Amino acid sequence: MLNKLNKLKKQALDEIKKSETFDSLKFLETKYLGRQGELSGLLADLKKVAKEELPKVGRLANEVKNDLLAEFEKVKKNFQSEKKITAVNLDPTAPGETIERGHLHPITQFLRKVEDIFLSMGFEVLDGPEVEDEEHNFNLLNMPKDHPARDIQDTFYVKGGEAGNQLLLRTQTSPMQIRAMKTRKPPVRLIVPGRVFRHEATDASHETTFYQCEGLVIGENIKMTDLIGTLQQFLQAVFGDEVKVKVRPSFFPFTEPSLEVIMSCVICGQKGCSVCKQTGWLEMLGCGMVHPKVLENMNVDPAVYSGFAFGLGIDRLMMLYHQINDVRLSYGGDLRFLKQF
Amino acid sequence: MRLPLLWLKDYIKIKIFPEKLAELLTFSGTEVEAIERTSGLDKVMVGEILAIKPHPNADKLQIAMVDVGNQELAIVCGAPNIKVGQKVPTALVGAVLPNGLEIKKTAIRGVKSSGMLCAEDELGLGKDHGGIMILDQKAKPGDKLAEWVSSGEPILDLSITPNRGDCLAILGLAREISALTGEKVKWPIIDFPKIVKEKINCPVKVNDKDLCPKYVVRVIKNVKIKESPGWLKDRLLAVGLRPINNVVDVTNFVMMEMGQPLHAFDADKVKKIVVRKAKAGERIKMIDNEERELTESMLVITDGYEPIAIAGVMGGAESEVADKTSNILLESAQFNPISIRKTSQQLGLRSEASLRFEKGIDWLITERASDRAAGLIAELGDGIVVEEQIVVVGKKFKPAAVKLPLSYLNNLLGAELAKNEVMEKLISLGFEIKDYGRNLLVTVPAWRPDVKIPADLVEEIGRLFDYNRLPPSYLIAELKPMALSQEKQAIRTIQDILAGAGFTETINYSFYGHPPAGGAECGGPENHLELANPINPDQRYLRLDLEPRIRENIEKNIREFDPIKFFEIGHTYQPNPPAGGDLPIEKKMLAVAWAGKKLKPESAINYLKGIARLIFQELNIDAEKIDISPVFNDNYGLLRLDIGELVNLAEPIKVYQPIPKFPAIIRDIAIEVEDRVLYGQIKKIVDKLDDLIARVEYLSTYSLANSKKSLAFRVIYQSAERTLKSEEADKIQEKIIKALNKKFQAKLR
Repeated sequence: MLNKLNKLKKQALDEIKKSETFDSLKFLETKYLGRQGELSGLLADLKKVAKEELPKVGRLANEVKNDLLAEFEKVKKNFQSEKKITAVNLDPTAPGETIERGHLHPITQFLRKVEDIFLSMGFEVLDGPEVEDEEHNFNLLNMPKDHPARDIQDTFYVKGGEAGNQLLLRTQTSPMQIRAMKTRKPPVRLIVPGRVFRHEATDASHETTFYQCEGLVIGENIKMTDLIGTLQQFLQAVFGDEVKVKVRPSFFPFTEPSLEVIMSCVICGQKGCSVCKQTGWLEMLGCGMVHPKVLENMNVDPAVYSGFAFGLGIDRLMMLYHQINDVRLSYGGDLRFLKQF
Repeated sequence: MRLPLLWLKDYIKIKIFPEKLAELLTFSGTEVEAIERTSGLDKVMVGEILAIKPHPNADKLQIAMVDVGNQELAIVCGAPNIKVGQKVPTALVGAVLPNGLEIKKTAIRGVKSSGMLCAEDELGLGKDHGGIMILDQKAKPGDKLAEWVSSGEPILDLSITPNRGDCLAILGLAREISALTGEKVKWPIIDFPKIVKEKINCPVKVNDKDLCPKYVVRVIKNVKIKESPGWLKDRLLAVGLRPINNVVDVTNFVMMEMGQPLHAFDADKVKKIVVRKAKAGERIKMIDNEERELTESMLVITDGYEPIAIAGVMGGAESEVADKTSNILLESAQFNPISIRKTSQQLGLRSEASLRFEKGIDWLITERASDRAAGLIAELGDGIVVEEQIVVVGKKFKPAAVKLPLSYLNNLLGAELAKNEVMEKLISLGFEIKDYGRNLLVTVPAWRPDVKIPADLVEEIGRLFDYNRLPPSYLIAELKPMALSQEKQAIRTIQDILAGAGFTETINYSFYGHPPAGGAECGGPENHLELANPINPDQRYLRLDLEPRIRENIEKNIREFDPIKFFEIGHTYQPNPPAGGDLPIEKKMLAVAWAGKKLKPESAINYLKGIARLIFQELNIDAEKIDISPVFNDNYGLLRLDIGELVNLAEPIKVYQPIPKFPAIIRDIAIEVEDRVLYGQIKKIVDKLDDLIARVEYLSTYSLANSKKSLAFRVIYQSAERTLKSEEADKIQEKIIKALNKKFQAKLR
């Protein structure tokens, strides 16, 4: 009996070794260990075994059973993992297939970031026309007829339109402030992201076409410190809580007082680099308290309401964010650039 | 505007380092773009004298052992004032000092010397040559000298905002700095060395007092034209002006000093002055020797007959001050800023003078500048000032007064400033104040025509206070949910779908040069809005279609990438703006392009149709309601969709359709029809044939012989009430074949 058991074990192990598929292994398992398998068959003869040998035989039978079970499990596992890796040419160090994906333009990605931050602060997101007129782009924004910004060098004029109110490509997203207020009453909080145009020669930091995001808040008791706090929150949401934000006085015809917001240089961490011109600070955006004349032009009473406005240069912020050094890359349709984002 | 500290210090004490001054200026609104230091101090370091030994071969020379941080140098020095332990400016070998002296390794009387200890004048830091300059004891060996010399007289490069014409003058800037540091401004003393009690022998008439509200004339006689002294030339060079001769240099000097442009005429060539508008076609030869034609809108100074200068822009060659000139007629005037700007623009002549006139000149400075320049001309040219000063004034000056409620100030700033602090700041800037308790009545100085309303005063106080000292606050408002507009949301969805499908977004210019001739979408140039002033002909027309620029994108990339999948979302501009002053209509368009060198038109078009369907599904648009017809050109297929139209058709909410309770029967049918028969025609018939036909789906088409094709489609049969029997489907299928046979002679394959 002991011999038979050992023989059975050897035979089973041989067959397991030769077994090439998971199915054949399963078959062997049933053949040897199944309820009507060979081991059970053999043990049916136990009664023929001498009493004194019985414990020995029992022990061996158990041992054989356990050994075989263990071997089946082991080989099964091999098969299972082999099921995943069966092809000989599969190189575990190879990178796998390239799944082709498309890319959103970095300007789009950055605009979404800006929109989402302001949405979360309760700002409306508006859109405006790109072909504007002098009235909205200049006059109503307190830039009277002879303001230097209206020089032909800065503005693309469009043929057509009315005498004295020429059509033009908007030089800023600000005219939408005026348009938005035709259908709104304070309090308002809104942003206007969009494309703007300047009539100037292009180089690494100048483009005829770029993106701005206008912001406008009007209400009772809107203060300069609100403006500073809001923009600080915005910049920290984009560039991280560790950036420092400061302001300094500036001049824009449509705001009074006017400010320039500066931020600690994210490129060098204020150690001084070419981007911040060794100053440790970057000019981020212009802003200010809405000029009382502009409020009046919006049919808002400056004696009751105050407000602030700001203009973000999206291209510049985006370029800082991704460390891009040439604004023209955005508008060149070069896939070697676009596919990086 | 360049601000040389050397010049600034003529009028105000500066006790702070240039860096600190720059910071004060920048954070009060006068941005300092750069601090330019005298060149030549690069290799001049702080050195500490460790030991002094006598020179073996010369009594008056000593050998100093100097620690310059990273090494110890032996330097021969002739100055008697050096002592052990002093910190002194040490020019290393290779340094080129401001006076041009190059420091070389040398031997002096047989003793090697590796460098030079410097006196003030050798460094361009002052006039002292009495001995070696002794530095602050806090300076460390190896520090750059530039870090330790406050009297390094650097030049601050300022960016003056357009509202602050008064800061285009050294004295104007001194006034700003005085408000920041509390130091008093010391105005130059006007002094006529010689004066003659005479009338000016030249009548002055101003015909257009709107364009020339003030005209002031002085005459200086017996002036010797010569080179200016060093102090004058240095100052002009420092602000970027070229010295010419003593008279012209004085006019430029006073312009930079006080902000009042001046013009000097040769008095012997000007017997009379008439200020009037130019006549059309009138010409004048200017001091740059170019002859220019004038227009009626320009203001000119004439001698009664001919123009002798273009007012505020440039003088004429005829009356120019030359070497032989001996009598000077000095003009100091106010001109209309807008008129000057237009004239200089039209002529393409921008000068330091026109720049200042464009911003407006301090009304009260005109006479003073005239006196100041007359005195200097007389002094530097040994001339005599004629006592009379002619002043022709066309308007009365009344200083502006602005009422400032303190509550308005504090509310707008978000601060709680004390009244005395507010008053102090305004007074330091030259404003005069009457205190009415809660309100201040503020009189604006003549040099600040930009201050007109209370908000302007808030800025004055805020900028001197430094806004950064105010703790930021946050908006307090009703919590209202804000969501993107349907259109913006749809655009994001489309962008995401396309990027997911492998398309890369491109952003192109809104203009192009050559609308594709005869293209269905574009038409010719006449169909476009056109720029009045394009930068180049390639950017002349506002786009009516996104295709032309996308085509360029493809051409640019096709060598390196194949296939190319691009999309763009952008505005197109419809011509013929509606009447009544409305703006031209803009459409937001989507263009999707798939390009490849070996791309087949039918695969491109079918694929792009699939893309369109993908978008429709996501936006919940019934594809039947919209016409999609991608086109194929050269090597790319292009799909255009109007975003506005998509948004109109989109059903924002997808309404649940009950899941069918009973199974469907699916049958595929392939028929043989003539080539011209289209799937759409087949579908139209089959769709309506029986209520049990749930839907029809396209499978495939391929060509057979004899202009026939095989067209396969799938019919799904379903009932909402029961499980269909196979026979029922068979019956309807027979009906389908029959109908199609009747209409299109279709045969089952």
